Amino acid sequence: MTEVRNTPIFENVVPRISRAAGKLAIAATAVFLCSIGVFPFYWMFVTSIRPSTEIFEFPPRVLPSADSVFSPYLTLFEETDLAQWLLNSTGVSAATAFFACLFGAMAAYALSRFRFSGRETSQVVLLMTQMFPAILLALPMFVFFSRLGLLNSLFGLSLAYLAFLIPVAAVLLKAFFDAIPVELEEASLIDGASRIGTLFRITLPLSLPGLASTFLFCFIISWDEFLFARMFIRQPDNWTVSLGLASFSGEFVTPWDQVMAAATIITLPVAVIFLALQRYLVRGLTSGGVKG
Amino acid sequence: MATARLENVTKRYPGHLAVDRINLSIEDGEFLVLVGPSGCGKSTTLRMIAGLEHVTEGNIWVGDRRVNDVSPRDRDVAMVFQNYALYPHMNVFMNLSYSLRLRRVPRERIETLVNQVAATLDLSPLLNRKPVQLSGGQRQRVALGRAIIREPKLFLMDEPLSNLDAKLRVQTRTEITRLQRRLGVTTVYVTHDQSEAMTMGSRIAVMNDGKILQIAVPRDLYRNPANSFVAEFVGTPPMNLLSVRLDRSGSVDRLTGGGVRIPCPESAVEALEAVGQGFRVGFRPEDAVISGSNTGAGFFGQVVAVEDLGHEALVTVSAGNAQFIARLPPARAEQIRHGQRIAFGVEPSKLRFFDGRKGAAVAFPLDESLEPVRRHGSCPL
Repeated sequence: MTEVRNTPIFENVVPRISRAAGKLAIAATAVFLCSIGVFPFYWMFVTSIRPSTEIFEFPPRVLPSADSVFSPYLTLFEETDLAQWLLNSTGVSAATAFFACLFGAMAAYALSRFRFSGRETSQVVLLMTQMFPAILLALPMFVFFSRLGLLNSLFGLSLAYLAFLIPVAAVLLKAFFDAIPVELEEASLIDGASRIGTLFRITLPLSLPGLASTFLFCFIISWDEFLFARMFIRQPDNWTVSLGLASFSGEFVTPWDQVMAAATIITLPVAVIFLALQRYLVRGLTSGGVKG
Repeated sequence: MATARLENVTKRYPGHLAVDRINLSIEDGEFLVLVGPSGCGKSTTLRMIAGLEHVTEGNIWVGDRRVNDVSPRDRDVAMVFQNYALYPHMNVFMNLSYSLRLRRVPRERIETLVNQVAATLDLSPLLNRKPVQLSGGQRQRVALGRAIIREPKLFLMDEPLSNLDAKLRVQTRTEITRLQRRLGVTTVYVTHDQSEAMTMGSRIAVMNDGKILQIAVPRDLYRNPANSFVAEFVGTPPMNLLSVRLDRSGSVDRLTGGGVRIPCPESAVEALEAVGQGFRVGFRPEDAVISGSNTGAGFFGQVVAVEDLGHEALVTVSAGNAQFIARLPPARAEQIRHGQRIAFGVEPSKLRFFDGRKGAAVAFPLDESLEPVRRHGSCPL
């Protein structure tokens, strides 16, 4: 110990400084990486409130203009059907995410817990559905849906999304169910619960993080989807937000302030849902129940 | 409380026979231990009793009810899992009361029962904690509590101690045994640890390759193993075994093999002749007699290791191609040096014989008048 006390000061200070420098470097990198992610959103918002005369100024100004205007937001709701599109998208996305989780969970539970012939094959098939580019399937589905009279309906659109998202949800959720020790369910069965009771009392509460992230994933996919919406939905009344946003770019002029304002509004619901669910997105709920 | 009975119970997986026609009768209030190496089918047997595995063939009875097709929840059994299987999203109170809540027991009654069990298992201050906030020993006690709170007909325990550290394991071992005696609940306990089996079980069933090899009280299992597998599996260190043949050419009948000659007890000669030439002789380490000179009861060997464990000493002796272990009091072992040449003998009545091919014990009339168990206590060196 005496030796340590006698060491010249710089020998103690240098490591401390280098440690601090290391932390600073990590923090700086984190800030830099985050800013890359956040900047487009910032730019979107700043552009939406910039007077239209300043939008194409060169060099562009990073800070918001002193003459910021919020009129594009009002214009959007007064002159376009944005409110209706938001409603349509919310309905379609929420329904799609809900049913994808519901049916995906059922499939995932069966794949995770039961041994049956064709189990391996069905897992491969689930993955194979993701192999084809959407445009390849869009045309046959268009024909199919038009025969069934499901074109131009939000219900039909949701159905089309479900066809894609249930397999994804099943694969995602299977991984979550696999992570829940089967002994927990066995203990519950012996303790006196039925299989369904066990599913609702033990398995589902423990897979909340998985369900939340799967729900969020499906919601965002359906919220952002454009190709199928474009093909299946014709009437502006039934447009989703992605169609509505695309409709702004005109043949001769595109009102960029309105486009950016609309984009900002469209981003908000997803952000809200993300914030609401992020509590569940943190894993670690299952730790401690069984000793591994 | 109840009895349980397994009749020709078989479990077959595709391409694999896990449990092979086992018969087992568990008495009311008994603590039966299923012991065997990993993969011997002991856990599968327990899981079939619990209803977690389907029985391929045979019948399982709990009390006088055939339960083959009864779901786990209706069998009235409780199980403690190796990894405890506590519900991680529920606190200790909710974990303990889970089965009662499912049975719609009134709220006040649940509270009384939980408090009773918590007091018994020293869990009262922990009722509001989640499993993740508990130590290994505490989790183990919650798992036990969850089983006893239901007052089931049958306790099933699947290696409940294997995740505890050595000290806690010995302590909990005693706790479980005491609890079982007090509650008097028929218990089936699975372990791969023979010392756990010997200390806890009122009866022990040794399993290997899906078969029950022997069911006996611990002392019987140790003294009179039914076959060479049990002889080697039970006891630390295990029984000394040597492949020998009967040599009747001399004045005294001897067992020879691996360069060693051991006098054969007269009462066993007839039975051994019936077996033929291939058999194995075995004796427990504490039945070895070590002395400075060959008194005619054994053979000479060289000491290759002396392990002093404090309360006893293990001396490994090499003779011919074989090695034997003797258990001695430490004081006596102090005088034995590595490399020393010593006489190694066995009290003839302590020898056990096993069929060379099947491993089954060869029965012969035992001379019970030769009582002394620890011969080394008086042997001269």
